[in-house]
Amino acid sequence: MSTDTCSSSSASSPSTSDPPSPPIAAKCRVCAMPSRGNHFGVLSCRACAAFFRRSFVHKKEYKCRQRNVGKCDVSGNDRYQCRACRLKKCKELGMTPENVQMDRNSESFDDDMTPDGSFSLALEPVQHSTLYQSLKNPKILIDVTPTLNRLKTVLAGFMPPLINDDYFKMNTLERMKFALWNYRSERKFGDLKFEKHIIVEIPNKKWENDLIRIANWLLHSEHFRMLPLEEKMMIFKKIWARWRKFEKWLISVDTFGHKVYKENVIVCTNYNAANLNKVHIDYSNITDRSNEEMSQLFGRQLWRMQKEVAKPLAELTPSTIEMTYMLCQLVWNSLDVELNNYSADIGDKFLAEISENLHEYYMHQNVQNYAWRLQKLMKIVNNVKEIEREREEMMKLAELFDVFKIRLSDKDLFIC
Amino acid sequence: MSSPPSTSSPSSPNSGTNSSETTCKVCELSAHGVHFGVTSCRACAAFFRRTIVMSRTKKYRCRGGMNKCIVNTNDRYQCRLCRFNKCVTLGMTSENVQWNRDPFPEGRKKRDGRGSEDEVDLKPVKRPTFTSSMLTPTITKPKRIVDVTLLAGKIQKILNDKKIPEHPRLKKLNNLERLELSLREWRSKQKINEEMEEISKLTIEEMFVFCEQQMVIVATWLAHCPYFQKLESTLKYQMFKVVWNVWRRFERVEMSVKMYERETPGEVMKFAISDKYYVTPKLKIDISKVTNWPVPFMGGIFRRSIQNMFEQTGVPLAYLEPSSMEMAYMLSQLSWQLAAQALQGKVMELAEAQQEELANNLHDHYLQIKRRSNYAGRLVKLMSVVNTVKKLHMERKIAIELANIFDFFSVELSDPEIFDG
Repeated sequence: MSTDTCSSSSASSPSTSDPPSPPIAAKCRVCAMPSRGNHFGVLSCRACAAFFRRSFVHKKEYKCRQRNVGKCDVSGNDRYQCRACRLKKCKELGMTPENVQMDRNSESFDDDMTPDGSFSLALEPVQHSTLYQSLKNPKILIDVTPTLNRLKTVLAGFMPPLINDDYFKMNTLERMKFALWNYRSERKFGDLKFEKHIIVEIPNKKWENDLIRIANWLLHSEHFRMLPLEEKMMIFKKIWARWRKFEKWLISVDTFGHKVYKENVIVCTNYNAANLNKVHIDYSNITDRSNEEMSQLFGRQLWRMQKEVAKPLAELTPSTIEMTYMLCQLVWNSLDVELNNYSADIGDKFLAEISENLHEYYMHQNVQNYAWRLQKLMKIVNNVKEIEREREEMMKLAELFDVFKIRLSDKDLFIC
Repeated sequence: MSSPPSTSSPSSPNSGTNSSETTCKVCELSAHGVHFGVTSCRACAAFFRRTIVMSRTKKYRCRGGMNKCIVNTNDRYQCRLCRFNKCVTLGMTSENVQWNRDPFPEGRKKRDGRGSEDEVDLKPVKRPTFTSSMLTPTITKPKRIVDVTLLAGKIQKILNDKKIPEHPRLKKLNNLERLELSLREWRSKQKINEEMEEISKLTIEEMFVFCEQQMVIVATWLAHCPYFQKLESTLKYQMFKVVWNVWRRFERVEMSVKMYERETPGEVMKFAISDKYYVTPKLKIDISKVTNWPVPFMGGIFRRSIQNMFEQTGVPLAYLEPSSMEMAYMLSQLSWQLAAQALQGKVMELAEAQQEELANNLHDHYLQIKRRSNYAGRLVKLMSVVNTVKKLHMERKIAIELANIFDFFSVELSDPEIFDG
């Protein structure tokens, strides 16, 4: 025993290894660094074991760059100087690939597996639960293709409905006024009931009929009927929501006057009235967020609408012809849709014609100086457009943050 | 040939122990020269300086409780009070302490915070990413202050000049006619197309000269308005700051359309930047003196605002061919609407009255001068142009706010609001 110790490492301090195993067993046989036990059949350190495994798994082939090929000294800190000789020595000493774990380097991957087997690498716990929350509540898809088809049928029509004998004596603006009267005639006027509870509905038959009636209003314009069907549909999708909202505010101010912005009173879509300070609005059909969150979401547009639209309307008290003029301007003025030159020209002609008609109306009413009034009307229309633009931005954010739990097959028809 | 087993190496011989001149008198480790009058190491010197600068003397307490702790080698940090007392006993004085010695950690903290913030803000906008080395110079370099008080004084003098609204020639003119007269005075100086000279390169200083000239024009134009004169001095200047930049851009675009687009409709190649010079889209602007960010990125933001205005208002302006009376009307609409929106209050009241009076003046103008009774369509078109300019102006304001957030500008004005528009 003492003879073995002296001959193997005379310069080292005495080793405290186990008596049964020889002192040479404490060293990696490849590089002479401290050993970590038996790897692949040879006493070796972890570094050489890992090197051997990597070389085998990746089918590496190394070349010795020394002049004396294959005879490099692989020991101590020189073991990495020549990978070819290091690998050669591993094999000479008897390392076998028999027990190599082929997927060893994927260890960190396995640690991220969740108990149910789904993969959620790098997700924080909160996000993890959020992800599962989303998976448990898939979006409800609502197919509005039948509505679109019905709209196309209506818009492809040649003549507007519900015309009478006097219709052909009317000018362009008067025909649009007639159309507005038709649109409103389906409302049950009389004693308006005040709602105590409003439920925001998903698109349904009543909603579809409302869209059809807006399309019918558009068709009373001879210029609109001249457009190609594709461009009619494009214009309709762009304007129907703002048109319906603005018309609702017009009728609210016409009915309640200054109360609209002083007492927060408005006419609802379902032909009744509501005091927004007292009514409870239920959004549960379209979202899982709380009603408070939804109220905050839509509150700003409501406030701007009252301040910038309802208040000046109440001060101006526009006539039905003037209301019609504003609705036409809302549709055609600065349209944000890319129309072809033909359609743009037709739009310009329509606007010029209704302006001429409005002038004739003012002359007939003996209003000589109407510039100030016209300026105010146009400012209201512009405010509606600006508020609508802000709402569109808000809807993009809401979609980004997954606020709504329903989705329409054509999102141009989705509106809140 | 195994390497010898590694053990803790014995301490290296301290060559300084033999000489008292190279030993710290406080802690007996190697000294680094004389600090505050005593041969000491850097650690003890820094300790002494920190204690003085941060006034920590009263906060130190002797851990041993006897004020007699041994302060040497590795025990120097055991008791800060005794360490400090030993420094003082040996003769360290606060005479040469540098009070602002440690600014770098604060600078580093600020830079890291700013960099992090910029990095977060940049992503939603999807701008190109900049390396931190580009951020550092901007933050560490102090901003140059550009003094515009002289210019501000000049402007305010014009705004408050009582001779302008009381000029005899304005006596019989109504509100709109006064504004039209002032506008025509400026436009009558415009050289004809053949006499205009092209500018292909501009520096910021040269651009500023043009701006200054046009500020005077806008101030004079505003002073012609009777309702503007009802504002107090402070509000006048505030309204001017809100209004002047968008006024001049709209007026120059309309002048350019008048001069050039009718020759080549739909293909705008020239922009009349002043009464004597015009520029083209090939214009090169040297903005290196006001920003440390790459030039193409900066130029793109602001060049588009003029091109956008051309694209969106050029066609209707070419079609309408507004008279100078109608142009004065549009400029007034634009100015007072923006001012009312920005300043509210008294300005909003006067804006309402001003717009009503101007609408009536325009009506009279149409009836008496133009012999045109049916002007509804035309009026709506004029207002549409004004609304388009307003919308573009708001978009540009957002771009400028982003530029300020990202610290684009390396200069700061003594009156920052004057260029907010």
